[in-house]
Amino acid sequence: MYAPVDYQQVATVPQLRVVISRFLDLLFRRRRAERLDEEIAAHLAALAQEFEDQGMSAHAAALEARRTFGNVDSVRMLHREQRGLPMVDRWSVDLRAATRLLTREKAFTTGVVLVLALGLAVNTTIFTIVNGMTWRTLPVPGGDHIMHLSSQSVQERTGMYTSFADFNDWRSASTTFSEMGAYATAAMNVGDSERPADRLAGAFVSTNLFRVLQVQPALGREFTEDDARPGAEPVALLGHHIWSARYGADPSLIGRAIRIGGEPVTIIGVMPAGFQFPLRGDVWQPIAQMPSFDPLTRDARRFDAVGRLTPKATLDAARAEMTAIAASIAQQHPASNFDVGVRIVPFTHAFVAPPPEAQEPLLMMIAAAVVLLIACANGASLLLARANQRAREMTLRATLGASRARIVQQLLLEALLMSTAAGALGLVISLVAVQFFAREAVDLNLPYWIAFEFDARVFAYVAVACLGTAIAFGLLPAWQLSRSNAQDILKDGGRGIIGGRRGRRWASVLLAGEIALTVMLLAAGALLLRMSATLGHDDEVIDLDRLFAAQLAVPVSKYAAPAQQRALHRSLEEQLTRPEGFAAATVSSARPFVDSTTWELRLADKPLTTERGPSVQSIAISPSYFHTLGLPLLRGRGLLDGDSAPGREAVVVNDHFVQSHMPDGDPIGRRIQLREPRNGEARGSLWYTIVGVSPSVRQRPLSRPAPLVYVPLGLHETRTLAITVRASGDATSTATALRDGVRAVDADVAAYAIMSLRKLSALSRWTARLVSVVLVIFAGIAVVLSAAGLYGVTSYGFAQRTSEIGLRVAVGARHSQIAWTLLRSTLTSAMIGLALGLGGAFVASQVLRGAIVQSETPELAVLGGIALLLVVIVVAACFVPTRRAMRLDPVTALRHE
Amino acid sequence: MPPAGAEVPYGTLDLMVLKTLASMGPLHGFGIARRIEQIADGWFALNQGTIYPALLRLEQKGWIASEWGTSENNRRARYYSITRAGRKQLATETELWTRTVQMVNRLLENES
Repeated sequence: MYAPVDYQQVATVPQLRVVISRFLDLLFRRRRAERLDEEIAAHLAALAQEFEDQGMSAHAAALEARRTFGNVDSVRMLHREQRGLPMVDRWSVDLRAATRLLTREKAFTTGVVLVLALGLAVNTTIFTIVNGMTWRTLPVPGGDHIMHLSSQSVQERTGMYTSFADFNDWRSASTTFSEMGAYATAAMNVGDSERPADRLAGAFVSTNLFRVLQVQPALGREFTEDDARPGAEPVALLGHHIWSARYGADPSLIGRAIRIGGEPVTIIGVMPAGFQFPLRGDVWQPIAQMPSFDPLTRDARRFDAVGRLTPKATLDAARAEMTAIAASIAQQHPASNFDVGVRIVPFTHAFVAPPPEAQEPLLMMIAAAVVLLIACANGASLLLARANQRAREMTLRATLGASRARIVQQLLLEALLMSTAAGALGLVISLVAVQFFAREAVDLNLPYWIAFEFDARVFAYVAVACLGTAIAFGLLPAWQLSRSNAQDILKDGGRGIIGGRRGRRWASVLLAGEIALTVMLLAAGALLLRMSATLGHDDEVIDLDRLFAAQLAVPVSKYAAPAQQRALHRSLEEQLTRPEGFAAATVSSARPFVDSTTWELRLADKPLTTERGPSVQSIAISPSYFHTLGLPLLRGRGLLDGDSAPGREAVVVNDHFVQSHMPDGDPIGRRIQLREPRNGEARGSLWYTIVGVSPSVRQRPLSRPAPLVYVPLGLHETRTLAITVRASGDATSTATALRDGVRAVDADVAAYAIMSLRKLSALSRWTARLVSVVLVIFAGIAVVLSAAGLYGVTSYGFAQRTSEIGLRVAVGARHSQIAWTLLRSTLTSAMIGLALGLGGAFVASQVLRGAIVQSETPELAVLGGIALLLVVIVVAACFVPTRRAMRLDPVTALRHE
Repeated sequence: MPPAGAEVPYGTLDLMVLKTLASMGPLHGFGIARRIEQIADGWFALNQGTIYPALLRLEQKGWIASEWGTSENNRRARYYSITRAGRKQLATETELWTRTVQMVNRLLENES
């Protein structure tokens, strides 16, 4: 018989068309309506003409035409229902009403929008910054599938590099990764016969690494397996930036040899513009060319790995699989891999941790949310204060049959309209703020993928924030207003009960909450500011302005033996302290403030009571260190050349070390041992004798000075090398002299990151400073918001009570009595808010303790100052409206309605 | 035979409009109403105005298209014509209609 008709299928496509057409009707509603009217008129005319032709009078024909046509109005109505979207229609009615209302009350609307815009701008700015820093993926094809793999101690969860041998096992055993590569970052000295050497960030990479990233060279070829063969010609790929900056984008560079670390290397290609790896790297060589590359030893941990997840694999699946693989490696090679697991995170997260793992951005986001909350409380108080005027309107609507839900819906729509306007204004404000931040952040050498821009995620966030804000500040007043009913209004003589007790109680709660939050923000800001200042103050123990430090990039192959290294250190110091050079110069393993090595400490005369000894920091220094930094030794002597001689190893400790570990008795002559913190193995089982005590200098970015051991250079392999000089010139001339001096010793050694210790000190405290500055700005905004809110609510409240005030004056109340009556509730809730805020500040300081830096509890003086500030603001905000009330002429006031 | 002046059965107006346009070519609203009335021949009463919402509905579904033109008596008029999708729909609906009628007929014959 018949094939069955799939009616459903036929119908679906037109359904979508109908919706689109109806939506378009919304825009062309008038044209459609006019068209219908014209058609109806033509139709009626044609009908009437027919009837006239049959011999009817014009009048009768017109009537008959109408009868035949049917009810014109009902046709119009049917037509209208077929057009447009009925729900949207209802909204648009409300929307137009709300827009009319809000534009009529310009001052009120502007006030609320400005208040909310401040709160939303703060949130948009912080979100944009956090979004740009932490939630970005590597900008390569399928960047969200690129993972970072490294080794970690399973027990202590501390990360470490991985060995090439482990990496090879990972790569061959894994099924969740379609491709896996390895790399080791390195500072590379790039030189050639025509230009002075540059120190560039680069990396030794496995030959497949760019295939993992799916990035092809823009010019030339990528690495092949042949480049990794023993005896292969040394080759390198250059970044586009360096190729243009250093070589003027010369295409003939491909195939030519330059020098990297003093060795001739052939450039085989240039990567595309905008690509760097892993952070800001611009030069890449195959891992096989890495000095003392050891593919077999599992302890030779120098690499990180990059893997591309297969399209089906999840991060969790990859973690599960790799954990099993690492466990089996650990079982086969217990000597080297005991307790060694794998850590896998999205590639960018390995360098910039996202919140909540990273606490600074989380803290700033919380602070921003608090500002928005204050702004919402503020907006809500303003709405509540205005509610009195609208009570009558609402009652009328309710009496005419509007449901409560419909009234709340309309009021919320008004709130949404205001919060959307605020969101748009907030976006503009934060555009400026974000640009300012981005300019400040240029100094920080952030990874190349970080960009602060308004992407889809930011806009989505703003949209959600606007919606949330509308509900947060609009729901309570809307709910309050919708409760008004005819009886209340009548009983209150037409004045409306909303401005009465119930509304005022809510206003008091909001006010108290607002002030409490403001106090907490102020306290947190003050606390962090103080902390940052304390760190800076600690650093003043050395002459920050005359000391300059630089990192040194030394070709490992050229200076492999300890004797070669010592000779290099000595000639560097000698070259830089020539009569025309610097007053003093010293080589060390790390610059002050920013870096140190962690060890487990053992004391010779104090047996361990716990399984592990305390941890302690150390840096390696040359004998001229304390002299150069101008640190007078507190006890004993500084280090001498002979202090690294076998059997006579000596160290200097700082006074924090003495306080913590040897508070009783003389530290000089006592013996200590430094062990690898991870496996407790003592490097060479050296025992050091303490020969001196120095003042404490911070060696970690965000902590007060801690116990530190200064060991002689050359006893341990040092990953980094730094040089510090005492100069008399400015930053530019010092940098030039320092760079040239280093180059004069060896053209393959480069000094980089040259800066005064003052700048280094500031840079090392950057996050603490950023968070504290942000918090102080937020607290300032909160204060302004609270003051504005207080002022607004107070004057509004007074305006409503004008006739009451007039009456009181008329019956002879004194000014002070009236002021007290008026201010009592405001002051009470302000004081409650203050008390709550001070309590909250203590709690907040406990939370902050350890989150950013080890911090003290806020001092009473600071809290007292904040309390005083708030009282002054409360009084000032109430003063103007109160004075106005005092000057009221009782007769006018009584007539006021 | 049904009494004269019964209402047009619900849902059949769209089919009638489509069929009219398919067989007659582009027509204005008045022409379509006139044609359907002629065919109905007094069996059904048509409120002529009701074809306008029907025309809008069909146009929204993309089964007919419309443009301005000039009528026989030189007035501006909206002319409707069936689209390719409309012809397909007409075929489907015709088949559906035929089957429905046959089914109902069979049912009614069995009952009697």
